[in-house]
Amino acid sequence: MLTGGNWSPENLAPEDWRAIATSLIGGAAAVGAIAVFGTPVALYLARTPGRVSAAAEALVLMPMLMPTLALGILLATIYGPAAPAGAFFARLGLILTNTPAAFVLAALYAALPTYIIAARTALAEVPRDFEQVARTLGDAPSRVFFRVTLPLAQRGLAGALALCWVRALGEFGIVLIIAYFPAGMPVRLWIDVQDLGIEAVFPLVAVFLMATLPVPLWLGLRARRSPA
Amino acid sequence: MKAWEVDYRLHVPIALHAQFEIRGFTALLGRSGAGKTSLLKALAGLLPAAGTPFEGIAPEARNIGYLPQNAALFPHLTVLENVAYPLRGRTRFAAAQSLLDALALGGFAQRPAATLSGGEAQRIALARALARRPELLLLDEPSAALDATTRDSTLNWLIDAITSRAIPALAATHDPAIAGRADWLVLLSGSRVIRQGTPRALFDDPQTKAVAELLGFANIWAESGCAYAIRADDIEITSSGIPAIILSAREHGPDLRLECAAPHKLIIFVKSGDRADMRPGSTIHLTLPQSRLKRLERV
Repeated sequence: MLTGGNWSPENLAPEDWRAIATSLIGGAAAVGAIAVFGTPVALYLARTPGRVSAAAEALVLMPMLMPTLALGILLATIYGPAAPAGAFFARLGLILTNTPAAFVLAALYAALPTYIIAARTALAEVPRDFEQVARTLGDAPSRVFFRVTLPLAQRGLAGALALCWVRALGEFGIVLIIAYFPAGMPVRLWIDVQDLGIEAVFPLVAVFLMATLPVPLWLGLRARRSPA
Repeated sequence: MKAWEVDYRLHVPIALHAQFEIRGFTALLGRSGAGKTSLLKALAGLLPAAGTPFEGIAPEARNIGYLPQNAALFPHLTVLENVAYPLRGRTRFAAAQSLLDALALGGFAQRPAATLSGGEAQRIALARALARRPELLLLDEPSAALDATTRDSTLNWLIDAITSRAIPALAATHDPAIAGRADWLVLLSGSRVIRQGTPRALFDDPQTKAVAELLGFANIWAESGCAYAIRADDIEITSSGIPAIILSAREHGPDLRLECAAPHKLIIFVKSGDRADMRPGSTIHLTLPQSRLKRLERV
């Protein structure tokens, strides 16, 4: 069936293209936000021992350990139009159910914990000596981060981002509840499988796999070949 | 050369009060765990401490050069980029290259830092620290990461490079050999500085058991109400002298290390030569030259 089916992207329907655009743009927005806001959190968790950081880590881990459908329902009750948080964002013009912003929110909750845990490990592996010497060579902590910590952790962080990208794009449970529209690739596939059958979705599955598989696989192999 | 007066109190990770001077190339001698590394890090601003100098100044604003035990060259940079790290502006690579050339290290410039041996890394780390024109150098166990074959040549090179630039330096070490080459010696024990002075003054008159131990005196004993110390190298085997029974004999490089009972325990080194009679159980005669025998305060 794998060879017999039609996998060619020529057979993508217009709504498939819209789903691809939603997934890629929404996923990229989520991953961008995660890199900017998640990295400092990961650095904090990697560098600060103690109870406060342990509690912060538990908080970060919780969404990762929750069944995604349950998490989606929780998010709907928090960010729904009737809920306080949802109403607050709605006043700012940001509707967080069944909008592109809701898609990004779903991807954020799906992927942020994965990124933070993987990035924390990558950052914790950078020996403190290098950062301390950089301080004595005249750099303030922020400069040390960009000149020493980031370059030394870059492979691990790239791997963490790749994982996070896969989680963001592949998320189904949360989007099913809070971002059914606009449909990303997973929801589109779900709808098409039900309406049209398995073989009809091969072209979109091909795009879905192409968007998620190669880069993480390459990063994983690269990290294995030459540990930085 | 400027002398530094240090008066530091640390609480974390070790409680310590250290009051001493840094004069020229100064060795900070203490056992492992005595707090040498912590004191150096505190001076570099990497650990909290109260006292002078530098209190309240961020590490990046202290004009010091810090060499950690493993040199900590940035592995993602070349040697030249490492040395240029503290410099700013367009001429920084040229300045770094001329510094490397001046230290006869110019040939290393394009090497990735991660490919250097321990001794090479120490030299480049010194070049990098010097690039900032520090007023004070801090070296943490400079001999720790060196293998036996390059240890002496690297240490001599480091000490010569530092003293020829007339930059005061504080080198933490537990190695009495480095201590012997220093201009000034500071002994750290029991969370405080127990002695400081020139190596000559301290080796000539260690005064206390703790000092003699730190300075590497192998033989310290009490006899008829007095305490004495003598270095293993300073004991001579003679035809007369005090009789001693050999308890054990062990190869020690080219020498033989003997443990004797005279009747208190004495360790001596026998240089290459006749070892036929140096067997456990046999008796030899030892002379302890009065000039080398140090009388200690009873503790």
